[in-house]
Amino acid sequence: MTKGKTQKKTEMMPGTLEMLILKTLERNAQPLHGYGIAQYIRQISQDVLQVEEGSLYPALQRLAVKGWVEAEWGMSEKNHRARFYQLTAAGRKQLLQEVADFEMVLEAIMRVLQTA
Amino acid sequence: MISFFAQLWRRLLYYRRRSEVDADLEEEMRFHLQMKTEENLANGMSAEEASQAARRQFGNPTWLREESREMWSFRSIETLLQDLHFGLRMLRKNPGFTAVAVLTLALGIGANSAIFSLVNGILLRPLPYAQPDRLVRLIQANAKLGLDTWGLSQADFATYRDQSQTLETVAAYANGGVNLTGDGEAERLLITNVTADFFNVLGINPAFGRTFRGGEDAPGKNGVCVLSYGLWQRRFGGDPQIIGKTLNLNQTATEVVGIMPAGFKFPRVETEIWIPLALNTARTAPYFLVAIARLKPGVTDSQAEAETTTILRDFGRQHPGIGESAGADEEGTGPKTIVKPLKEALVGKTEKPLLVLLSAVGFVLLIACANVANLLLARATSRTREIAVRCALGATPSRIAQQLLTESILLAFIGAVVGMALAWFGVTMLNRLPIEGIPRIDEVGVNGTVLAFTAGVALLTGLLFGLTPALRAYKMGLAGGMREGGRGTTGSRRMNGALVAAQFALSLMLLIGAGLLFKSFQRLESVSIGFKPEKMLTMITSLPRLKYAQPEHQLQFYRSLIERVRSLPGIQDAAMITNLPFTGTDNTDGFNIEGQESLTDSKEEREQAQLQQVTPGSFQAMGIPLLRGRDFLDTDGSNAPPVAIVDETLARRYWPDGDAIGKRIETTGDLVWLTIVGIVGGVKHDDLAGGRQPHIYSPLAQQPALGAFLVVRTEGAPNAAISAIRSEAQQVDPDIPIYLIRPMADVIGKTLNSQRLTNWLLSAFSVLALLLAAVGIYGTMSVYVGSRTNEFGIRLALGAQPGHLRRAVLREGLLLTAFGIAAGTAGALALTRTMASLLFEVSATDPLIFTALPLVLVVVALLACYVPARRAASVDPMVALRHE
Repeated sequence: MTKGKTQKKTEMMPGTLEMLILKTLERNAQPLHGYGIAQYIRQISQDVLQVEEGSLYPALQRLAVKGWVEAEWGMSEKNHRARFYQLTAAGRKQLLQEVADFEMVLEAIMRVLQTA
Repeated sequence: MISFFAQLWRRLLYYRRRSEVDADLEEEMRFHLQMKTEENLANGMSAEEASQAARRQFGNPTWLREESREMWSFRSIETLLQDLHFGLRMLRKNPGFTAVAVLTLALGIGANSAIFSLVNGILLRPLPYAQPDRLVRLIQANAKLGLDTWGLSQADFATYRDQSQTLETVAAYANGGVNLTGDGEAERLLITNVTADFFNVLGINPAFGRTFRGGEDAPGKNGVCVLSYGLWQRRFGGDPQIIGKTLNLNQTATEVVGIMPAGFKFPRVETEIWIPLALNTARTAPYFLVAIARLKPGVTDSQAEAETTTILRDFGRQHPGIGESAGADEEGTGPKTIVKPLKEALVGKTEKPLLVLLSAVGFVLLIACANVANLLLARATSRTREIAVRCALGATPSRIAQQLLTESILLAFIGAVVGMALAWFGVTMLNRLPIEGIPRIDEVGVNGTVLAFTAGVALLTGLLFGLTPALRAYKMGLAGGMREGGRGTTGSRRMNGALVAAQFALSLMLLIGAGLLFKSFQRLESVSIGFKPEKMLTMITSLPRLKYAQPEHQLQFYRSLIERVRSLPGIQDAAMITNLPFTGTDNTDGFNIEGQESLTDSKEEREQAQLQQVTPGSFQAMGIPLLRGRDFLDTDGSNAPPVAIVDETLARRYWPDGDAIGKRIETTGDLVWLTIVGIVGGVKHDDLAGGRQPHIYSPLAQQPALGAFLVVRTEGAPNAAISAIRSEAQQVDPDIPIYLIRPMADVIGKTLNSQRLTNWLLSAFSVLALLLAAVGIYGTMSVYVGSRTNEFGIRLALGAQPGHLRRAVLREGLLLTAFGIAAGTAGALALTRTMASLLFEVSATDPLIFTALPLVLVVVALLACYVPARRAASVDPMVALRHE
C-alpha cells in the first residue's frame, strides 16, 4: 500500500461524476432520484462507465452545498418515498462551463494520442 | 462572493438540522438498495444474491455517509477543534513536560510583551496631540562655535514667529517654579512658562475654561494661568468655580483661566501650572527657551529647516556680536536651525536602549523556542509508536503533522497567556518605580496593540518550535512509521545538538552585550565629577519677588540661613549656589576675555560657560579644590569691584602658560568686566559621560538671585541633618519653603536611572538566557546518555573505566558549547558594534568581556553536563543489557 491512500474507487476522471449527474438532470425534464440517475448513466453509457453507485450520494451532497441542484422528497413510481433532484440555474451554468472545460481537455488528449 | 455566503448559509442551515439530514440520507440510500435489489430479482437472481450484488455495487455505506456529511461540514474548524481537544489531553497527560514548556515560553513571551509595551508606548504610538506628525522642535546649532544644540533667545523666537512661512504656529517655553501662598499651606509648584500659542501648536483644548489668548505673553498682561488636572483635583478638590479666581503665585495675583485634561503632561510630567512668559523680544540673550512649532500642511521637515536656517542667518547678520552672527555669512557652517520631529526630540535618546532590550528579549525567546523544540524532539521519540499506530489506522502524514503543529501552537498560546500576566505584572511594577528621565513612561501600558503583538509572537513561536517535530512526524508517516524503534535517531540528535549550540551562541551574545553595558555603567559611576557628592545635602530656597525685592534683603536671608545651619552640630559647611550641577538647572552664556577679543570674537571658539553665583565658602562645601588665588569674601559686596573665579577648564584654555589671576573676563549678557581672583578645579555639569564645560563663578552679593540651592556638607549621613536644617530655615522666615531636600549622591544617581534600568533588565535577560541554555544542554545530554545506555553498559562490561565514559560525555557537551561559543563570539563582534554609542569608555570589543564571559559559559555547560556524565559512568551493565 503506497502512501496509505485507499478509499476512492471511482474509475472515472475526478470530477467527471458530478458533470454526468448535472448532464443527466439537464436531459430529463422531471426531477430524478439517486437510483434513477444511476440507472440513466449506466444505460446511456452502455455499461462502460462503471459507477460505484453509492458514490453518487456524496457527489449529490456536494452539488447541493454548491447550490447547483435542489432536492425535494416525493413519491416514486412504485409509491416509495424518495428524494428527487433538480438542476438549478446556477447548476445549468456550471454544467456548460464543465462541459466546455472537459471538451477542451479531451480534445487536447486526443491530439496528443493521434500525433503519437 | 455572493455564492460563498450562500454556501455558508446552506451549511449553517444544515448544521441546525444535522440529524434530520442524516436520516434523509440514510433513507435515500436504503431506497436505492431496495430498488437495486428489486431490479436484480427481476433479472432472475435469488433473494440473497440480489441483495448482495446490490450492496457490492453500492460500496461501503459507512464511508459514503462520512463522505456525504463532510461535504456539508466546516471541516477545517472541526478538525482544529478536535486537534485542540486532543492536544489539551496530551498536555494534561504530561504535566511535567507541560509545566516546563509553558514556563519557558511564558518567560520568553512575557519578556517580549513587557519590552514591547515599552517600545509601543514610548516609540511607536503617536504623540497624543492633534496631527502629531506636523509637530516639530526647533533647535539651534552653530558649527562655527562648536555648539550642536542650544536654546533660543526671546528675540530668536519672535523672529521665527514673525517671519516663517513654513511654520503654521510657533511657541516657546521654559520650565520653572513658583511659591503658591494664601489659602492653605504655602507650597512650591513646578510650572512651565509658555508663549501665547503654546497650546495651539499642540492642538490641545482645555478640559474647562480657556487657554491663553494672543498677546497674553507680554509683561503686565501675563497675570493668568492654566492648571493641570492633577493640581486642580489635589489642591482645589476639582471645583470648576476655581476658574476666574485669583491665586497668589510668587506674591503676584494670577487669574485661573483654564484647566487642562488629565492626560496632558507637556513638556514634563511634573508641570502643574502653565503661565505665559513676559516676553521681551528685544532680548538677544539669554538662550533659555525651548521652541516647538506646527508645520503648515504639506511642508516637510527639510523645507522648514532650510527656511528657518535662512531666517536665523539673516537675524545673525543684523545683530553682529551675538552667537547667531558667528559664521552667518559663510556657507556650510555657522548658525543653523534644526527642525526635528517632536516625537524624535522627546524619545530619541531612549530609542537605542529600547531597541537593544527588544533584541535581547528576542534572543531570549529564540533560546526558549530552542528549548521547547528540544523537549518536543525528545518527546517525539517516545511518541514514535503513537504516530506509527495512527499511520497504520489510516491517518495521512499531513494530518499527523497538522495535529502536532496544532499542539505546539496551543502550547505557545498557553505560554503566552501566562507570559502576558508576567508582562502585565512587570509593567505595573515599572510604573511604580520612581524612574525619572524616561520620556513618555507614563504612557506605557498593556493595551490592545500589545495583546495583538503577543498573539502574533505566540503564533510565530509555536510555528517555530513546532515545525521540526511536525516535519519529522510527516517524514515518518511517509516512511510508514514502524521502522524507527523507540530511540532517537542520529538525525534528531544532530538537530538537538545544533539547537543547543545555537542557544549557547545566543546566550553568549546577550551576556557580552550586558557585560559591556555593565562595565560602561561602572565607568560612568566612578567617573570623576570634580566635586565630592558624598556627605553632601542639597535643597532649594526660593524667595518671592515682592517680599524680597531688595538684593540686600535676599543676601541677608541667605547669610543668616547659612550662619544658622553652619552652627548646627554635625555640619561642616554650608553655602548657596545658583546653578547646582546635575539638578537640571542650566545657565550658560558666552564670554569675552580682555585682551583676547581677537581670539574669542573672530573664530571657532566663542565658547559658552556655565555661570554660577555663589556665597563665600561654597567651594569648600562642594568639595571643589581652590587651585590658585582666593575664595570670595564677605567684602566682595555690591559696592566692591566686580570679581570672578574661573575653573581650571577655562583658565587652561585661555591662559595656557600664563596666570589668569588679575585678568578680566565679561559675559556677553552683562558686558561688565570681572577681575579674576581665583582658579578652582573643573566640574562636570550635567552629563557624566560628557566633557567638562568652562565655569565662571561670581559672588551672589554682586549678582543677586531670587532662588538658590543650599548645599550642606555633613559629618555623618546627610539625611540626619534634614529636620534641624528645616527648623533653622523656619526661624529665618517661616514663609519661605525649603524643598527638594536630597543628598547629592542621589541627585547624581538619578541621572543614571534609565541606564541602571536598562542594565538591570539586560542583565536579568542574559541570566535568564543562560539558565535556559543550561537547561537545554542538560536535557540534550540526558537524552544522549539515555539513548546510549546499552552502549555504555557494554563498554563498562568490557572493562572501560567509568572516568573515561564520564569524560567522553563531558567532551561531547563541551564540543557543543565550543561551537556555540565560536558562533556567539562572531555574532557578538558583529552586533555589539551597533551598541558603541551606548558605551562609555568601553570598547565594543572589550577583550576582558570577550574572554571572561565565554569562560562563564564553559563553566555553566560543565555543571549542566556533569549529572548526565555521572549517570553514564554509573550505568549498571546488567540493567543496560536487559534494557535491550
